[in-house]
Amino acid sequence: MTARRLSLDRLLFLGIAIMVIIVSAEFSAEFQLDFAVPQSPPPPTGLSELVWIRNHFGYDNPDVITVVRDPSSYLWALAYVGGLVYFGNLLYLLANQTDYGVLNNKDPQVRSDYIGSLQRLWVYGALQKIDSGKYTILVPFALYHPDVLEAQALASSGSGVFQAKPVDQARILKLLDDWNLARSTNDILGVASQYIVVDPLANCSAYSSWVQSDWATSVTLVQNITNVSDCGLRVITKVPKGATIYATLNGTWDISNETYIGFYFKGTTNSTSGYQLNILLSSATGYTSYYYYQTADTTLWDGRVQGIVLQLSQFQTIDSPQLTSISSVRFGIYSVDNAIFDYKLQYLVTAHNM
Amino acid sequence: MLAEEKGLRAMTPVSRKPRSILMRRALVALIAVALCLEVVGEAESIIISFGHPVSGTIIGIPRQFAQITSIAFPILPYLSLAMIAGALLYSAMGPTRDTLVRNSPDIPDRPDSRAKFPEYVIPILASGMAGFLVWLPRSVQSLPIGGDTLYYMSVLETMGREGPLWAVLYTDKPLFYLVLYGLQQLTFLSVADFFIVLPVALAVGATVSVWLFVRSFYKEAAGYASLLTATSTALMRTSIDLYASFFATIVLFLILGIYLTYREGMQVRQRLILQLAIIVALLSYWFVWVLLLVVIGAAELLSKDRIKQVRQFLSVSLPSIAVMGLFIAFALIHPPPNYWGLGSSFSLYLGKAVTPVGTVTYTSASFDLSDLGLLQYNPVLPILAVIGLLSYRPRTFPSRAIYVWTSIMLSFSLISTTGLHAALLIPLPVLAGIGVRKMLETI
Repeated sequence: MTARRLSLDRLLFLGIAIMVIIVSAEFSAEFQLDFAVPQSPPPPTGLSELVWIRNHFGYDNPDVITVVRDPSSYLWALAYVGGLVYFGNLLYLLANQTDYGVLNNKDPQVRSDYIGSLQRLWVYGALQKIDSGKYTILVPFALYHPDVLEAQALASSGSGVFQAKPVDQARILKLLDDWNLARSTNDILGVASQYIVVDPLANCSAYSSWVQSDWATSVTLVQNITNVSDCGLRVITKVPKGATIYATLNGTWDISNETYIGFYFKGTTNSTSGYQLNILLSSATGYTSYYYYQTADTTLWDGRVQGIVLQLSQFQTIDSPQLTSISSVRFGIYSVDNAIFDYKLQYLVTAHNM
Repeated sequence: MLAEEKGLRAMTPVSRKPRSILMRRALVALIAVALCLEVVGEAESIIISFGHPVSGTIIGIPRQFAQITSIAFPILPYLSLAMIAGALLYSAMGPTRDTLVRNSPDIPDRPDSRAKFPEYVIPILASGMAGFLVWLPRSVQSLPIGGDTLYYMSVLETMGREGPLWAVLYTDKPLFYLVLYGLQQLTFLSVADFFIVLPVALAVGATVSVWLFVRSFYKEAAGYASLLTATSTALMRTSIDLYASFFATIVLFLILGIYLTYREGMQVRQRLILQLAIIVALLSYWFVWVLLLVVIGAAELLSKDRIKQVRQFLSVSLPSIAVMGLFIAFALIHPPPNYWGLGSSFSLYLGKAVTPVGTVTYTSASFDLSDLGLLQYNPVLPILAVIGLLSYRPRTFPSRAIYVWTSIMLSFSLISTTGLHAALLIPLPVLAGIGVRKMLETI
């Protein structure tokens, strides 16, 4: 009797032991599927740019410096291109100056990557000869996203990769000063005006044509957001959870010769969850074919006036829109939760390089 | 002694009251049912994550059960920490009871030739499970997995261009990188493919090394420890991209296993192997080397004949200390930018300096319980580890070493990211394996 009970107990315990192993394996399999993933994989275009650099210049080419500015891109660039990868802001590298903004960044990974990349450049003697013309300085566009001022120092090299132009040091220093000014004043549009040709997309009379897509949105004309232009727009919108609310301006534009779209923006929100600003450029009625740009940058909504310049090449597409026949521009807010957004928009422009 | 123990075990249930037996059986049955539901529920979740829908009212019950139990997971790290700390304290200082808690002999009393087949089957099975679980995500991902993998890829590519000496000049893990580079060259794999195969091989290596280590002092628990290591989230996390830690942990388990055998016989050949292996640990990951010296040193200091044992330990560890001294001296004579390798890189671990290679993972010294987060993915392992701690009291050298080791790593986890970046160095699967074995012994 005891022996039978013992064997029953033993069987039960053995069964439990086996189930413990199985459930542990399952927890691990679930862990693997959830967490064993590529770290912040770059967009496919970013990866193909790195592959292009590798194919054209070779891995770990001591004469090539690849520039990136986020920790994830730094690792991908190290793995795919190797060699001299500069982590930081392009103009600081070209001017051979220490970027104290990055050096004192609150994120230790950013500081570490910056110091590591700088030391490597220094050990290989690249920093001392950065303006000697010996080095090919490459910027993968989809990984770096150079702004309008940085773009002034770049020329297309191929397949989305840009290369630093041979520019004299005085111009580099001027660009760096202007770039820092633009960052400190939040007005890259104003500062960049001296480098680009700006074409207003709508004159003051056209601003009254902005329409809201929702009854809970108010669109009114306002003045004095900046002293650049007399007219502006104020949109107050209550965005329901998971919805996108738009303000739309219809017209006819051919912006095929333009490189940038710019505007002044001042926004506030009571949202504490996720939200993003969407900009749409449609070339077909009913938005069946359009360009779009999305940004979840929360600093846009800090209540300060900000001059913004976006590269049109950064816009993604739905269907096959045409820049030659843009018929509608939309500013939309997407919100994860119910929230109120209040923003002012002024001086909507397109621009191209001089 | 074994016969006596068996006799005791056989006698104990007879003297128990039927009511308590019933209660125990009901409890065990309840645990079995709960585990059954969890096993099926988790399986359903995995099937769903592969895109195969599972539907039906009855079929959905285990999944709902698994989802309900997972609500408690976020508090598990804190609970586990308290349980493990409590078990460590109780086992070291609590009253000694001669009930279920008995120490197994350091070396098994009787060689059992009949048990040889199943003895090898379990580590082979465990290795297969570890290899499969580590390969699983790599079979569905096209890009390299984990951030540090990208860094390791760049190191191998750079060594390919600048020569193997680069690892000695610029890194603090020269031997580890040389081994990696040599293996990659030998296998003719591309760097990207090599980092698909490497973690699978390291997972198998870690499972086998745990089995060898536990086998050296508690043969009956070795299989369970290897199975629980193979299926632990600590091994999974390490396999994602912590290859240096993975490699050094394997070396650590092997050294500990050899040391326990050496301690019994003090053979010259074993001493030489140990001296060499400890140097390998130093040149692979000096943090693990320090841990090894501290754990064995502290455990030996707690021995009865501590002077003799510490002297013996010094005889095997001194060569590695001398090698470390040489590296430091070289670093002092040739400071950066001439030499950035082992000896000039300690401040890396305090976040004070960065070599031209850059740091892979930044470690900051801060009190952060979230670093114990790995404990929350498998609630079974900490519970079994606590049983292991309570049932395997620190009276023998191996158990003392494991106690010191667990205490150090647990303390480290509280003040650094060790719990995440060196999770496999916390010997919970070993303790859990002992716990399972001890539970089975009580039947």
